[in-house]
Amino acid sequence: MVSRVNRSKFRKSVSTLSVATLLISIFIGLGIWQLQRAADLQELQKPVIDKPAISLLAIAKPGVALPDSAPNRIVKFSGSYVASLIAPNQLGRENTRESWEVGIFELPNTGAILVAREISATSGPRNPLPSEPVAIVGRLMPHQNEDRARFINKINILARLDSALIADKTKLPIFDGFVIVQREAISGIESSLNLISSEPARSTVPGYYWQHISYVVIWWLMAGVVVFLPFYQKFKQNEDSETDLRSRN
Amino acid sequence: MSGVLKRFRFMAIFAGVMSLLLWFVELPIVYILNNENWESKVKWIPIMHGYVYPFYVFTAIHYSVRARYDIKKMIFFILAGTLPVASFIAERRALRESRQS
Repeated sequence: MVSRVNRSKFRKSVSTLSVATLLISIFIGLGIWQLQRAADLQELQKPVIDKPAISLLAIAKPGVALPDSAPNRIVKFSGSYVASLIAPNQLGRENTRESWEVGIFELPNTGAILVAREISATSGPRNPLPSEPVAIVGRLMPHQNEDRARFINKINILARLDSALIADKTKLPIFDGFVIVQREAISGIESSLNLISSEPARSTVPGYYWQHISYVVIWWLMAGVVVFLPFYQKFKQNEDSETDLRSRN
Repeated sequence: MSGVLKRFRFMAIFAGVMSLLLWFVELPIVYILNNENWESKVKWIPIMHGYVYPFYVFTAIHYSVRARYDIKKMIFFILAGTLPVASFIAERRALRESRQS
């Protein structure tokens, strides 16, 4: 009889200990995860130092996804524009929304790439695309995944800067990603463009640094609560039995 | 006991208000409206909520121990701070029970 009671007590203790250990490891793990996110967020806020400009062909190939090292690099290439499009509702300086003039740019006998040339004029005539050979220096960006312009179904409108959307507009294979122009020279003469902000693309971590730190505090506090609760239960049981004894006497 | 109860009630109401702001103001602005200008104006809400909740947990534990609540009730009081209205319910319940005892 006694051994059965002891065995059931032992089983209860083991199951409580297992559940507590599991919960503590989950809470500590969640705290570490939030700490990592806070560190990632801090890392992303550091300024990016640009490497010297590199030939586009040295870092990317048409018809192939951009390698990890390619996005954000300053690239140079030459060729000519073959078509002009508008990419509305793009995020510009200080989070303002603006439309961009985007050209389909062909590198002779190599491939085509989307080139975000300048901020589109809100009024007056659009800057015409040059027909002469053009040399470009700009930042290579990864393709956009989400449509910026919804419910727009016009031929020269690009819902997002993604080479998949221009497959029918050129016979050449297309480079992944797009380039934001920093300098454009037409037959050796630099164009005066209303340049787009070419801040490096950053992967984002949602939230704020101190928010993630507060979640670290919460999760680790929860781990502390799980450590505390079994002791409290024991304390409560002892106290209840003492009160019971006192009331019987 | 009255000091412990007062602290718990204050934190329950404070955490409840912060939860309401988080669930019905900050989260819709960030995840439904996608408005960057508004987002920057409400960014203090999740941070503040994040720091208010641990203080709420401390006061909830302190109050539960003093009120000799069993473990299930203590867990309810701790978790009440995570939901918008639950902490108000916990505050009312604590007040009612302290008046009864």
